[in-house]
Amino acid sequence: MMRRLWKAAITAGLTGIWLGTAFAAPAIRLGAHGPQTGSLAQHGIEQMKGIRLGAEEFEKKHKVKVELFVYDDESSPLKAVAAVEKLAGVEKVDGIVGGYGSNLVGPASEAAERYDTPYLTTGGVDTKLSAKRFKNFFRLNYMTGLAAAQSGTIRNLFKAKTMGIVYNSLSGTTEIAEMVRDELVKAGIAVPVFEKFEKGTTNYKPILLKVRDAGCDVLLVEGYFSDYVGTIKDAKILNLPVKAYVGAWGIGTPEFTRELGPMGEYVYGTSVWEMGTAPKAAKKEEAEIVAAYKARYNEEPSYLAMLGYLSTKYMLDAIGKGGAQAGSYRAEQTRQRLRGLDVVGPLGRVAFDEKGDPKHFTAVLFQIQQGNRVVVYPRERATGSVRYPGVPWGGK
Amino acid sequence: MKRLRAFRLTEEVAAALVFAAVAVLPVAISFNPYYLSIFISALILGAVSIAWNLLAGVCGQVSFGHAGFFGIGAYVSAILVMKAGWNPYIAMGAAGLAGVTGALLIGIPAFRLRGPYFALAILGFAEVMKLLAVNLTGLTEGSQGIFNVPPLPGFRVGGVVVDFYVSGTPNYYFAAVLMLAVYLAAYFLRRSNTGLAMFAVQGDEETAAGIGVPVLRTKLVALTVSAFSTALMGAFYTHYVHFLSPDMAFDGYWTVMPVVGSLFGGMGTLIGPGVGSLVITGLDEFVFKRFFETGHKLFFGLLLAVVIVWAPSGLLGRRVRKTTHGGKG
Repeated sequence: MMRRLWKAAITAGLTGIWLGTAFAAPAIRLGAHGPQTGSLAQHGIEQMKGIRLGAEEFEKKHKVKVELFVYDDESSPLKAVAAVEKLAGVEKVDGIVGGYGSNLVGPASEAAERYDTPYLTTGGVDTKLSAKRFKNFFRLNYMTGLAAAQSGTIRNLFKAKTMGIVYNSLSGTTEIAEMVRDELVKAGIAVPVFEKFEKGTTNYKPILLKVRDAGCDVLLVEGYFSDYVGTIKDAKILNLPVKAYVGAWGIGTPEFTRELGPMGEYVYGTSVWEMGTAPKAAKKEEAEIVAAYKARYNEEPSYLAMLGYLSTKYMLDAIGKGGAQAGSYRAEQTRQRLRGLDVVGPLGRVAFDEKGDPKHFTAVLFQIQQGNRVVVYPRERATGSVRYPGVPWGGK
Repeated sequence: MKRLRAFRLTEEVAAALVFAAVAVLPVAISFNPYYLSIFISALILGAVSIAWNLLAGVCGQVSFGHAGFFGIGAYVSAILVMKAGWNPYIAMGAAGLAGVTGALLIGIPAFRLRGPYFALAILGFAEVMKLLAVNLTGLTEGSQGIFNVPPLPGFRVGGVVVDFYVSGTPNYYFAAVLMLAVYLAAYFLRRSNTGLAMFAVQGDEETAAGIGVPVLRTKLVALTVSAFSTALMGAFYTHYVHFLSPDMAFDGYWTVMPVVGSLFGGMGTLIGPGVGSLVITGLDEFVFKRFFETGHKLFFGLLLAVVIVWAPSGLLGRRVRKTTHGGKG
């Protein structure tokens, strides 16, 4: 009897200590910056929704208070530097997430390095960002994964022989266009049309005529919303004889559907995550995140929101597991945890290489079929089968 | 009360007060790195606004293309440092001269146009410069931009190490010195005979030409000094941010905000645009943004509208006496 009582007392005591420790863990100070105003605001606001939810969910799940400091960098590199100066220099945050656009993430990550603050971004895909091998720099998405999804689809799924690539002259679209071209040429696919257009272009017919004259099988447009609307409308006017139309990010958004309606059918878009594309091992996690997001915002999460959520989760996990010493979390411990991260989540397997780039990052290619985004590549993440050839205006 | 209303500072006293405040500001904000970074961007804008006002407010030639000079300066300095191994300080001087070259290239033909046509021509010039930066990929890395632009080299003053990479304070004081230099250039130019000619050109070009003022030369002097100063600030900007792309170097911000800063501070004075830039940057960051996370720019626009309607001469317009030729008010 006494023995039992002792056991119960010890168990209760240990549980009390554990719970006490859990609740007594110091609050995690998390910094987040992103464009909430300015030209990139639409993307930054989406991303921030995921970040806020990620912080709330972590707090609920781990019973550790998360103090979230959000800073609007106004789509300006100067303000991106100010963001890190404020978050790391003044608020003394334990880690920073967010950032959208390589021209903002570049200066911000450099400032984070000066303050020795771990920085996990989801919005800078330029390969040069990790060239300096900052010890605090980590990112969840990467240009090579996006390019691989496009070239993989064209090579393996379409088995195209000739390609026309037209791209917006902005940084991200130029880099992905060049990467895809190089990969396709290496695979023996001819790219007779590789044409750049300026931001604000409204008449795409001259370059689409080149695609027609070269007899390209597939048209790849590396651009933004207005570029897709313009090229699809002009392709319809020309009845462009191609078998498929592939675009980069921004296809299939509510805005896209509103503007193009049935003219968006059969179009392919590139994405980091789509509902249902999580690997088997992460289906439950994906469903939970989506449910929590719907409950919080009354809408489905976009891939930007999912990236924001997951970056926050991974960063907070790393800070929390790194543990606090003398009432504060150590950057070195957080970095070590991030470097040692190797999990399977809604984005697939997540682990970082020595430069902070995601080692296993893959993107998906989806096709709009009856208004829905059906993931067709890679096959292990596919949610349906491809309808090829097929373009909204008839084509080949 | 009447005496208070009638109270007016001279340009010199106003400028001395402003630069004294700029000098002690870091102490007042306890060298807070975040505040410093905001005021660094305000000082860059302040210097560009003073330069813009020299052309528009003093000489009457409104420019919608200062982003062109800003971008030229940023690119020339970054390229000379990264591709030719120049010392950043010398590269900054060369960047200013490149701005002058650009000013002469556009100024000589465009000053034959009058009124809005000059403003439109210079707007087109800025766009051409941006397109060059996008397409001369071998030199500028195109739209992907130039990463890892080095900071200004540090140096020692006595036992103190001035490091532009680690601390915001040296960048702040360097930006303040540049703004002071731009102000002094504008100030002495306005006090000179050329400054008098600028007033004449601003008043009525034909009358000025009729009394023997070399109109084209006067306008070109104003434009080249303005372009030099703007390009210099562009060069400093790139060494401060460490990154450069056509979109940010030739951003419309550098065309629009100097106009806003000048209107807000007072185009009739030389120091007004600098003050206007400091105040609008501070108000937006520390007041509007604090209360309205995503809608703060709206208040900024409203404030500007209020100033234009109720105080068209700007914050300092009625409080500072204009200095003209030889310093006579």
